[in-house]
Amino acid sequence: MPEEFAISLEDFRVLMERNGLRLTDEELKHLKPLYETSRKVIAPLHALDFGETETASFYNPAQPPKVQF
Amino acid sequence: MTKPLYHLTIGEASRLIKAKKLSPVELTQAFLDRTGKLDETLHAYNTVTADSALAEAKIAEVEITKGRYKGPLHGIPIALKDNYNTKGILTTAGSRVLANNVPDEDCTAWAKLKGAGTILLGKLAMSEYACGGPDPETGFPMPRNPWDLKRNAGGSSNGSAVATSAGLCMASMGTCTRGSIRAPAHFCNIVGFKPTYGRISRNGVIPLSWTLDHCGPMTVTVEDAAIMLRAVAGHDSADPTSSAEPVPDYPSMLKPDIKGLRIGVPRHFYFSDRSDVQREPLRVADVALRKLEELGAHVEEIEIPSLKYSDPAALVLLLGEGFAYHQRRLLAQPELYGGVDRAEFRVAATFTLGDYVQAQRARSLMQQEFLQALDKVDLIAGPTFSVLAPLWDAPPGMAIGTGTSFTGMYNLTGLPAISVPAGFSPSGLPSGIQFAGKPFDEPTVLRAAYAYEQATEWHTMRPPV
Repeated sequence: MPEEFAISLEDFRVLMERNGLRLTDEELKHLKPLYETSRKVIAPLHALDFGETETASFYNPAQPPKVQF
Repeated sequence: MTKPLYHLTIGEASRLIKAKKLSPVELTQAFLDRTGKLDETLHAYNTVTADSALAEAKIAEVEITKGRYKGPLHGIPIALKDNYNTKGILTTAGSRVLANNVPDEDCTAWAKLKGAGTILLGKLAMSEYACGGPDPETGFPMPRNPWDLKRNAGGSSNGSAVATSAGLCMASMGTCTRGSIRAPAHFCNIVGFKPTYGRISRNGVIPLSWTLDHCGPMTVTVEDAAIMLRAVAGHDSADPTSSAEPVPDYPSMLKPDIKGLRIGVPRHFYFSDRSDVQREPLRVADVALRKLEELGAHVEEIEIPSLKYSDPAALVLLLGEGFAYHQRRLLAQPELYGGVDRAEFRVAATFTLGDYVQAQRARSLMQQEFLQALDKVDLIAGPTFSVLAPLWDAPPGMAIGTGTSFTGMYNLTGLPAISVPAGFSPSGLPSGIQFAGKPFDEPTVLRAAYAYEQATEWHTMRPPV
């Protein structure tokens, strides 16, 4: 796992506790690689750059934007 | 009759039933017998409703005899994924959390199918809460792939795919959050159709992710998918995301003609050299695309740069929304969940507001780029899935780090997408081709799928069980 996505077991324990999850050492060791993988997968989303003038993003699944058929 | 009743399509059986040449009771009994013989091996069902199915079939037979024929689903035996609420029938979503859950009401989709005269054979196995692949820790049945019993049918509508493919029901309903209808269909050589977001009501269907979940039919043929969709589509005031778009008569619009249809293929996404993508699904899709050209379609390359955000955006929305739904119970009673859901929802507890908002922004960008692409072409096509059916003893499939999804972008954009049988690997494993279209343009999606299906033999092949 690249260093930027690695987390120590203690930091991971604190992170989980802040989210209400008090886990055993065994559970934390099991979850830590999955957490690190999730950060690696999610990272590209934070590289998205819409510039300074982007209007608010929206998602209205029931009414997709009008398109020419 | 040259083939057994359990291998008839809805189209074939309904024509016989309408002509009073086939009894719904005889047909239902054939599926129950087949299930009794094979389900100890295939594990497709969580619950078989044999007594009520036969009672419903007898009523259908009387109605038809008396001239009260309701239409092409009257007397047709189907089954539902076990996250569709069914009044008075155990509905577990494949989880010990709901091990004793017997709903008071039918979900809208089942109410519509029941109104159309279908017979319910039972509730089908599924990945826990429709998340990930088979997980032995849940204690629920784990379906085996009828094309190779050493393999599974992926997730999450795996029981629906196995039962439909092996002739344990004539058709089924699945749900799809990132590919859970089309992937199992691809693994089992059947048709899986996820229509436009809002096309089928989700009222009474147990959710995974509100903004990604879809309902859809899983069938042996494209005609059957059109018949099923016609029955379940339409506005439902009980589902705030349900669309009021008129419902066309899909079956009557099927034509085996795609001359001049423009089909775009984002080859930069499908055919790159990623190590997590197997070569066989790509080869099968390439052959199928050439067949579409032979049939008169214009196949061209298109670019959708934002596809690179599809997997991270789907991961954050699927697990983030799933965690929100399960948070209270997950913290209080984690032991009720299987290992896959427990681990994935716990990790999702660490997702940030920034993760979720960026995922929605990426989704907006994708929606915009897909609609721009669909201004220039009628459909987008490619392989349905990046791998063939996984081995039975492979580690349980998880949403985190499972590799590239070829289906999730259509859950993010809400566009209609169908998987159709398109060939086999040298080892005999099925593989599909996927067509996606403009919002609510199910007729064009079905037309292309139908034309391809009618020009090939893949859909006629049945598993060796």
